[in-house]
Amino acid sequence: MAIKKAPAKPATWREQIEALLRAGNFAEAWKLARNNWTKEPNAESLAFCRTVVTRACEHFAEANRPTDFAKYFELGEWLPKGEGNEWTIALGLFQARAGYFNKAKTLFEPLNDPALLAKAVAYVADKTVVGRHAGLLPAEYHAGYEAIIAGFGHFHSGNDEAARESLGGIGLQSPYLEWKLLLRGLIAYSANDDGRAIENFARLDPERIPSKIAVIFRAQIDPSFRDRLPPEAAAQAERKSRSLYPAGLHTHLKSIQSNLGRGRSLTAAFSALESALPFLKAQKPELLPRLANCFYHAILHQGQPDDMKRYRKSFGPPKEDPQFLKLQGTILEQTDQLDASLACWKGYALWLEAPPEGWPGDLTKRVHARVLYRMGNIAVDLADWKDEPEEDFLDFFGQRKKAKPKAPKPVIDPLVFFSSATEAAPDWEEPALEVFDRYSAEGRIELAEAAANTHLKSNPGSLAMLEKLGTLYGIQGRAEECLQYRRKALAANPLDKTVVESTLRATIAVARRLAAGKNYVEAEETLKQATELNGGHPHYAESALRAGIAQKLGQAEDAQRHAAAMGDLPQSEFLRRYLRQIHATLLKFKPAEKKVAVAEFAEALKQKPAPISWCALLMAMSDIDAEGWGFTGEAALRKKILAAIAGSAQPGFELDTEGMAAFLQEKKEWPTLQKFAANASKHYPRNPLFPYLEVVTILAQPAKKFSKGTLSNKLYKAEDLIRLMPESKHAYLLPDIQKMQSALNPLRSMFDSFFGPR
Amino acid sequence: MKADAFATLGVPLSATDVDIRKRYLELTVQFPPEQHAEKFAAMREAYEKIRTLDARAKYMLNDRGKEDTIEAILEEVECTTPRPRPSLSMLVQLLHPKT
Repeated sequence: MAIKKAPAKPATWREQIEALLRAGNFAEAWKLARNNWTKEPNAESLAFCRTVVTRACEHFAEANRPTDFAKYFELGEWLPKGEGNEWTIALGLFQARAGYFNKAKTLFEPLNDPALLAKAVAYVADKTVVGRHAGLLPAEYHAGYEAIIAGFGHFHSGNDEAARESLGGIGLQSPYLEWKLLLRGLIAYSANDDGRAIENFARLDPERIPSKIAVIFRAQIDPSFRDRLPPEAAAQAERKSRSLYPAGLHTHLKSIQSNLGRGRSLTAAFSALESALPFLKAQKPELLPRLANCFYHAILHQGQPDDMKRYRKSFGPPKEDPQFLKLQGTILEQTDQLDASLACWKGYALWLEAPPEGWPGDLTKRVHARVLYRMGNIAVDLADWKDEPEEDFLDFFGQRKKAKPKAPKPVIDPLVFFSSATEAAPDWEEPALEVFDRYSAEGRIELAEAAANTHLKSNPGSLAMLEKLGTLYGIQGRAEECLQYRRKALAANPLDKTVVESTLRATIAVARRLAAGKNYVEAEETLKQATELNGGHPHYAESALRAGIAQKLGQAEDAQRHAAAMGDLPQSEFLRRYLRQIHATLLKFKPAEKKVAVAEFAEALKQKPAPISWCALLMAMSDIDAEGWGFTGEAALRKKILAAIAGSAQPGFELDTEGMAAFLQEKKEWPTLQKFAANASKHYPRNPLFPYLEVVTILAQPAKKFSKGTLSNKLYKAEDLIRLMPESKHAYLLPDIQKMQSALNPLRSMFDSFFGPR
Repeated sequence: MKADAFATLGVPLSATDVDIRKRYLELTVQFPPEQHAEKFAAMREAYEKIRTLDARAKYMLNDRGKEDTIEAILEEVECTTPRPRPSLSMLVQLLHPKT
């Protein structure tokens, strides 16, 4: 059913006049205003008539339309002048703006106001310059006029000195002073002296014509001025300024710019380039390589294969990538076409083998090494990608008949590329570390050591490599060698607290080895170095070892004294008992003493230690692990401790409980962490970390069976808890949670991406 | 304006770490930041890009030429093209384009 519109409320005559004035329809506006005044001859209707006349006179004076101006001026004269001088002054100024000095003077003379007359002279002076008609003003002003005309002539022909000389006779009282300022501003502008140009332009009277001209130039050099202009005026100034330059290079470059926007085809940009090239070659040939670079990078972001042909046609082959292999390798890598990307990079690496023209040898070698390293990383991604089974998105219930798996394609070993990169740049750390890590992970220790030592020969201060080698030796039980590399790292970085700490632990490890070998005196000597590294105070692990050595030597009082030096905090006692049991085994205590040590630690485990004690124990345990002992009973003891940790979560210690969980995660103690997190979830139901960790631990155990729905719900719970809390400190988990959700529930993720998240 | 790092410092591709540092220090004396803030910032940025062999290799492989945007080229054209010297008639024409 059609609904009848309510009839529009008729506009008042005032509104109608305003609308007509805005539209520039002065004739209709005048008709309406006059009719209205005839009907109701009051002050308001007279004011509207005057407004129409004022606006029309201003408009036609500005537009240099004297006939129209005269018509409306006559209407203005016809209107009653009223009691004050306001309308007379307005009429006089209209006359002056239109260039009628004598008429303005006649109107102003009875008012006896020299300032008004000066204003009228100034307006007429503008008209003399614009219309090139000195006779509009009396002869006394002609010299100023001539000076301005001559000055502009000299400026146009490039003779600034003569232009300045011409302006010399124009004083502060001259009606041509504004033109003098404009010309001085323009001289500075064309000499690129923007400061001086702005200074002159800023002094201009906005009511006068020179100021209106200056806007065009000032907007190009004074950003704050441009920002203050209405957008339309700023655009108009820009257009007018451009019109002063001859059409050519600039216009073509602008056209290229408008076609180089992200996400657009480059066809139009290449067409614009074709038109620009002749100008560029003729006027700015030095810019050709830069424009070529610009197009090269545009192809990288928004190009199509055909664009490489177009590029070649316009610029020839790119100097530093003549076959576009680097460009294609990068694009293919970004679009996950890793096999093809690798092939392109291989070609680029081959091209680099013969040093490109102008490239020094060492730089070429290092770039070559970088390409090989990049190829190694692509090979890593390729291997990961090929390891992942293809997801069957339509297999909602696991009921679909599984297709026969395809034979996997041979995977390229990333190690080959990383090793080649180290050969090309032996002192470059990144590939050397990759090679070392890969050999270490594969248990090829000798090769890892060799790779590290080769690198250290070229880069002896490599902290990362020294640390890695030290750690490897530690785990291998080669305490002396571990300490040797820790010391080298310390020598290179004496102020690094982490390095000091790892050297301290390595020193204690050496002392423990010595004590285990019954070299007690040497062990004591080594421990002195540990004290020194710890700022002159014994470290708790050092005191524990001293206590162990004293007990072994039957010095009960000393043993007690050293044990007491470990501190009197609750966690100190827990640590004391743990390390005493460790030393009882390593230093081979008498069976009765060992039995007591074992019983004491077992008792401590039963006493439900606080999370902070567990954190301390986990750290001490980690130190012992890093020393690579492999003593009898180590696995059983570890199992016992981890079993106790799994059920150790308790209320009231949320921060420490999070700390324990982080430690277990870092050490990849997945089964323990799974139980611990589940327990902690019960005690801290509003903490999102624990449900998140439950999922992490389950996914980290490949053999673990799980329901995707249950895990997904736990992740939703964690996400909700984070989102409920403004500025949650756990917000950093969100990207990981979403990633896991996508892996668990690809279809859901697709829905979310279409319809927005839950 | 950003430009090629080697060109900004005025060193050849074959310059060593020492050469580059020396040149950078010379330029910082010539163009102190208090008086040439923009130029100094550009020099500093260029220096960071090429100060070591590894940085230079990274720059050559991934970043060289990225500074050459169409905006930078346009700016250069504008800077090097002499500004117009319009006649009085041209200025009046700008004011009243229809007349």
